[in-house]
Amino acid sequence: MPRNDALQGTLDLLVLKTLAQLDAMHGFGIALHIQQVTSGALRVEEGSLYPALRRIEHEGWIASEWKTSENNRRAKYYRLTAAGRKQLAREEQSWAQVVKGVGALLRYA
Amino acid sequence: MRASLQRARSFAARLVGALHSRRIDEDIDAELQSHLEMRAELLVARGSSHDDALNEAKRMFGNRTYLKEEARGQELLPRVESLAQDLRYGLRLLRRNPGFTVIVVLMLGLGMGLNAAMFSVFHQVLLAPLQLPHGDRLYMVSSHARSVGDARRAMSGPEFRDFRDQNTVFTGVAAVIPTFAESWTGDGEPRTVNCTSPTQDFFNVLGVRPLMGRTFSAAEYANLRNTSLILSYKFWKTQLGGDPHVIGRVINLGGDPSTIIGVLPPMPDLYSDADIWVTLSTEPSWDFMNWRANKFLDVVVRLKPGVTPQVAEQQLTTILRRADGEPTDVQAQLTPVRDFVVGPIKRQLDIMMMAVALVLLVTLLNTAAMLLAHSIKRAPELAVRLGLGASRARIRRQLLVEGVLLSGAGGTLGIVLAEIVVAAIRHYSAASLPRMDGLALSGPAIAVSLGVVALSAVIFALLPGTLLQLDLAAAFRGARTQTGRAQRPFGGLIVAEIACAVVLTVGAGLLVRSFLRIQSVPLGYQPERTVSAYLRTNYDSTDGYPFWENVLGAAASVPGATAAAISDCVPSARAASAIVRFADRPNVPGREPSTEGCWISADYFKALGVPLIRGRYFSDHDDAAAPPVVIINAEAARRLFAGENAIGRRIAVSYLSLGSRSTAEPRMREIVGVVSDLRQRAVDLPPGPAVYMPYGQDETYHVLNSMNLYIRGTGADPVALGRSAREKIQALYPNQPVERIRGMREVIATSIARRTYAALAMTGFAVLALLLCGLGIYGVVSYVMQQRTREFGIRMALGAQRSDVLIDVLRRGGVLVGTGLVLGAGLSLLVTGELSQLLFETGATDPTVYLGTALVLAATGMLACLLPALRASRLDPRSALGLQ
Repeated sequence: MPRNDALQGTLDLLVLKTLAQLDAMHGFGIALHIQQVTSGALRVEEGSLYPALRRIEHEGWIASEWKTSENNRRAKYYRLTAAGRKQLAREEQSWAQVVKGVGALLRYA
Repeated sequence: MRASLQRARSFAARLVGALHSRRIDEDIDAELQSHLEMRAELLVARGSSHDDALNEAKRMFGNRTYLKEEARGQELLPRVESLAQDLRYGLRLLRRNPGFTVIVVLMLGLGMGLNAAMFSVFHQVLLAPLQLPHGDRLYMVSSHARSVGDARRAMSGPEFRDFRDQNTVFTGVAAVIPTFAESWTGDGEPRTVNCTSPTQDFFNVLGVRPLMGRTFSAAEYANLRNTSLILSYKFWKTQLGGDPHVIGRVINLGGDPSTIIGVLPPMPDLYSDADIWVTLSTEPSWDFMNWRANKFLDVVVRLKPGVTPQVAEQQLTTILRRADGEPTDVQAQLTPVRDFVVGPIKRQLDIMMMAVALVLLVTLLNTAAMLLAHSIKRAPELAVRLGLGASRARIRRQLLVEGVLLSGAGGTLGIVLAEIVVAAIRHYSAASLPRMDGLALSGPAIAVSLGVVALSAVIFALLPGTLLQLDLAAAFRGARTQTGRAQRPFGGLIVAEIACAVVLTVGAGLLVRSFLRIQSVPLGYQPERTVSAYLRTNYDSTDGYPFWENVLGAAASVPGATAAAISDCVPSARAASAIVRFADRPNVPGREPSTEGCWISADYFKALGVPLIRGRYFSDHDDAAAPPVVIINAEAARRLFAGENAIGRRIAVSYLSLGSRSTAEPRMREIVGVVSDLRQRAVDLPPGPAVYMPYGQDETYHVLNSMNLYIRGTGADPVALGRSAREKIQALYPNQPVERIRGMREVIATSIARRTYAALAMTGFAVLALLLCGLGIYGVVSYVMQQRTREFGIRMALGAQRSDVLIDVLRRGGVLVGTGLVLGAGLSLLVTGELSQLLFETGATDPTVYLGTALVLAATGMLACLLPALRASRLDPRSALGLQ
C-alpha cells in the first residue's frame, strides 16, 4: 500500500509544479526535489511516479528528451509545455480552493 | 484547434508506440535503470556499499515489471495491444474465481439458450409470415349461430357453391375436404395415407405452383372417376425417395391405379399433413356435396384488394341466410389463415414464451446480484489501480472486457443449448405443433439473444463502473464499511427474483395439479389391457360385412385375446356427433338434442371394460336384417329421459360424421341397453350424452370404410396382441394396412400430450427459477455476511448470543423473501388467468397451489439465508474483529 495515498491524486500537481521550478529534470530528480522541498513530509512513491509521468506526457502537459546529466549519466529529462503551464495554473487554483475549504472547516472546528 | 493538434500528435505517438512496442519497452527499461543507478549513487555517497545500494534502490522502487506494464499502458493504442492485455487480465481473473465464473456462465447460458430456443418456436409458429404469396389476404370461412349453440360450423357443398357464385368480394373461393384416409397398396407394406381434396380453384387461390408436373385440369375436375393425383413434397421425399422421374408413375390408391401428375412445393402453413392431393369435383358432384346439412368443408377465400373482412362477412351472412332450413341468426365468420392454423395453440405458446422470458429475467437479476457482490469485493483492487495511475476509462474498459468475456461465454453456451433444445423440440413435438416444418434456431432469436448478451455486458460493466464514481479514499473504505448502502440494491434484486420465481412456480403448480387431476380422472373404461389399431378399407357396401367379420374373427383368435371389437370412435380421442329425435314426443327442428355417436360391434364395451347398467349389450344378431337398436349411456338416459327407464323407448339418430352420405329420414331405434359413461371425446372433457349403434345397421355403409380395432387381452403387453392380430389379418388380406397399433394408455397419453408438455416445461422452468433464486440469495447473503463480519464481531464481543445473530440474519432474509412472495402472489393472480385454457378441474387461484408455492419458496429462501448465517454465527468474535 502506498503511503500518503490521499495525496496520490495531487501527484500531477506536484510534478507540474516541480518542473515549473526546475525547468528540465529527470524522474529521480523530480522525486528527490519534492521530498527535499517539503522537508520529507511528502515522499513520492517512485513506482507511481513513472506511470504518472507517462500519463501527463500523453496529456501533452510535459515533453521528454534523453540527455546527459551533470554526472555524465544518460537520463530522460522532462520539461513543461505551454499546455502544461495552463494546466498547472488550473490545478493550483483548485488546490488553493481545497486548502481554503479545509482550513475554514478546521478553524470552525 | 491547438488541443486537437495535441490530441492528434498524442494519437500518432501512441500509434507509433503500438507499432514499436519493443522500443518502448527498451525506453522504459532504460529510464527505470537510470533511476535506479542515480538512487544507488546517492546511497553510495551516503556510505553504503555498492551492492547494498543497488539492492536498496530496487527495494525502494518496488515491482518493476508490473510498473513497466502500467507505464506502457499509457503508451499503446488501447484498441490494439492493451485490449489483448485486458483480455488476458480478465481471463486470469475469471480463472481465479472458477466458481463464480462457472455459475455466471451457466446461468446466462441456460437463460439465453431457453429463450432463444423458445423464441425460435414462437417465431416459427406464430410470427413468421405465411409461405403463401399475399397470405394476409387469405381467410377461412366458418359460420356460427347462437340458436344452435354458437359452435364453429364448417361449410357444406351447397354453401361453398353459393359463396363462389354469388360473392363480389373475393378474387377466388375454394373448398377443401381437410383430411381423409386412403390405403396405399402395391409398393411394399400396405399403408394408409392422408389425403386432402380441394376444389378446382384451390391452388390458384393459395398461389401455389407445382414443383414438378402440373395441377389438376378442368377436364379432371369434370370427371368423378378421375384417378390422377398430386404428391405433397413430404410424401414425395420420404415415401418415394424424391424420385425425379415420379411424374407419370402409377400407384394404387384405395384399390384404384392412380397416376401422379405433379409434386407440390413444401406447404408448411396449410394442410401440411397431407400426403396426397385428389380432386374434389363440384360439377358434377357427389351426393354428399349436395346436402346443406353436411357441414364438413374448409372454405378458403382470397379477399379482393381494398375489401375488408367485415364487408365480406356481411355479404356471406346474407348469402347464408337466403338458404332454407338455416338458423335465422346464422353469421359468417372470416378467420385469417394464420389464426386458423395456429389458433388452438397460440395461447399455450404465449404462456411458454412468457415463462421463458421470466426465467431469463431471473437469470439476469441473479447475474446482476452476483456481479455486484463480486465487484464490490473488488473495489479495493480497483482503487489501487486508480492510485497507480490507471485512468477511469481504462478501468471501465477492463470491466467491460470482463463483462463481454462472461456474457460472451454465456451467450455461446446459450446458442449451443438453444440448438440442442430446438433439435429436441423438432424431434419430439413436431406433430403436436403446426408450422413446425423447417424449425431452426431463427435469425431473430439469435439477434435477440445477442442483444441480451450485449445489454448484459454493458450492465455488467456499468455496475462496477458506478462504484468508481466514488472517490478514491471512499473506494478504499467502501468494501469494508459501507454495508448498509451496499445491501440496498441486493434487496431489490432478491425481491424481484423471488417474485418472478413465484409466478413461475404458481404456473407450474397449476399445470401439474391439472395434470395429476387428469391422470386420476375416472375414464369410465379400463385402458390397461386393450390395444387399438386402425384399418382403412375400400368397402362402402354390404361387401364390407364379411371382411369385418373376418377381421373380428382373426383378432379374437389371437392367443390371449378375450374380446375383440371395432368402432369408428376412439375412446378419449374421437367421437362423431349425432342428433336425436324421439318417437314419443314432438321434435322441434333445430332444437333436437345433440349427442356423441359411435358405430360399434357387439363386444365394444367388453373390449374396453365398460359396465352395463341395465338392458343388454349388442350381439352378433343385431345386424342389417334385425330390428334397429341403440345403446345409450347413463348421461343420455339422465338428460334425454330424465332418469326414467329408457329401455324399450325409441329414438332416431342422425349421424353427423364427416361426409355422411344420407339425406333419408333416419329409422327409429329401440333402446336396448344403458351403459355407464366413458370419456369418449377426450380425457379432459366430461362425458356427454352418447348413443351407440351396431355397425351392421348403418344404412349408408359409410362406416364400413374405416374402423378402429380393439382387442382386450389377459397379458400385460397389449401391443404384442395387436401385432399378432395384424399378422392374422394380413394372412387373410395381404393388402390390408393395419396401422397405429397402440395400447389404450398410449392413446390417452397422446390425447393429453400438449398438457403434458406444458406441465413438464413449466415445471422445468420453475425448478430452474427456484434453483437460481436459491443460488442468488445464498450468494448475496454470504456476501453481506462477509461485509458484516466486523459488526457481528462487535456485537458478539458486547455479549450478543449466536442465536441473536442468526435471528437477525433470518429476520432480514425473511423480510426480503416475504416481500417477494407477496409481490409474486399478486403478480400471479394477475397473470394466471391466461392459463385457464390449460387448466383442468383446477381454479386459476387454487389455494393449495398458492400455499404450496409460498412454502417451497419460503423454504428455499430461508435455507439459502440459513447456511451463510450459520457460518456467520460460528464466528469467533476476536478473529472477526481481527479481520479488519
